[in-house]
Amino acid sequence: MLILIIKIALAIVIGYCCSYFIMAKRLYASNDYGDTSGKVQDFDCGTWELEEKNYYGPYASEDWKHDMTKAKNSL
Amino acid sequence: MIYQCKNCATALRFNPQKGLLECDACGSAYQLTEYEEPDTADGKIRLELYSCTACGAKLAVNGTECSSFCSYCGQPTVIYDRVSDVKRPDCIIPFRVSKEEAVDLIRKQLSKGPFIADDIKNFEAEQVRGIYIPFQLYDVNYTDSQFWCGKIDSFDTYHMRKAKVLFHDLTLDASKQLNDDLTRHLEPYDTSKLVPFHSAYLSGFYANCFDYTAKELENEVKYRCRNLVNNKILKTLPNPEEQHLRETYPYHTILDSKYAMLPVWFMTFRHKEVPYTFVVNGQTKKVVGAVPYSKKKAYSYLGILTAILSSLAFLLLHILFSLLRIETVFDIIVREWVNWFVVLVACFIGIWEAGNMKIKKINKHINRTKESTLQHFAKNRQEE
Ligand SMILES: [Zn+2]
Ligand SMILES: [Zn+2]
Repeated sequence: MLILIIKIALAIVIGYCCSYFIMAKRLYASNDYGDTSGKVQDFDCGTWELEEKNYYGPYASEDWKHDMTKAKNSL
Repeated sequence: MIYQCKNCATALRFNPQKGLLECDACGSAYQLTEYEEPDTADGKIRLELYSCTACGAKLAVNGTECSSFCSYCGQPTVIYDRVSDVKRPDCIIPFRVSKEEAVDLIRKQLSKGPFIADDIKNFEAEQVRGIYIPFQLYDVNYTDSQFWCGKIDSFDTYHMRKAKVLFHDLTLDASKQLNDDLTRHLEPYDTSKLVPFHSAYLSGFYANCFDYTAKELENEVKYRCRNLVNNKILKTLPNPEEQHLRETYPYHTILDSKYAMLPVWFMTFRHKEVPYTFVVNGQTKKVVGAVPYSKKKAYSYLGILTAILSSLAFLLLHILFSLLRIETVFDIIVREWVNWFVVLVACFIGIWEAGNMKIKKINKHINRTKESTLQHFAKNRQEE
């Protein structure tokens, strides 16, 4: 008997959570338009140059600090 | 400045689809080049200002269109203010979308929604206004060197990121009357279609006033560039939550800026006495806005779906339990299935939370549509 209650409880939790998610998704598509905040952030007007440097090894922190002073002085 | 028909002296309107000045009375059409603009040596144009007594909105009109409803708050409280000389824009993107098209676009969107109340679907679209919004477009050279340190699996890590960006036509809304979040959602505009300004483009349309100072806008430019760059850099860092920005050396130079008018359709309708304002990009047809959902429709959908999915889940659990030979609660405890069940429930609560985030976002956007956008601004200004 108790096992049946557990099964039902689990089934309701699963069913409700999934339904809520599906409803939210459909609601978003149905009632909210023009939300492209993600795309706007990523907009491509202009030219980008990105340089990445990651510091490894025993002298990582010294190298990093060295580059930091260099950047500061070059301003 | 009113442009009159050469045939019958009626005031002309700019037709967005044909790109011509048209006469409603006799049907004549004219190229804009057939009309000369009045001398604008002082860099100003003359417009008639109307203001809304309910929310404080100010709109400029060129031509004969006279205001009866406020485009922002939907109240019939618009009064003639005065004739005013305002800063003349350098360039303009003329309206490409007609009034009927704009309303159709919104109606099409709303008719599809399964959770939209029926009275919203049959909205009354009387208060439709084409408004040119002032934007300042910037070309900016932006550089930054950023020094980050942080941890990955308890190891210290060090990173440098250098960015060199040349922004072209970064658009910045130059009207305080509009919610910046809203105008940002209207983007992007195709700035390659900019043409030199001619005040005949305003015939039959409204214009919003440029009311930021150059200094305020320049701060905003800096802020927006920095945000764009920082977001991009953050994505390149390993384990970004555990990273801290130690030093940053941002530097920007504004290479060029121009004042442009960009086209936006505003449509206000009422639902339960509350005005909602939808906007449509007058060039790209992008519709921005969110409408309240019918709770009845949403909850009945949720109820039915829950019933179906729960029965399905029950069936699957039943099969799972018999496969695992779980017959009593005792089996669960002794064979240590409890933890697995907790994980299972947690996963589904996670799914629920993802849905909840979406709902919060929708509500935020509905509020923005409701507030669009002057009431909010007017209130702020009064409090100062
Ligand atoms: Zn005529
Ligand atoms: Zn108003």
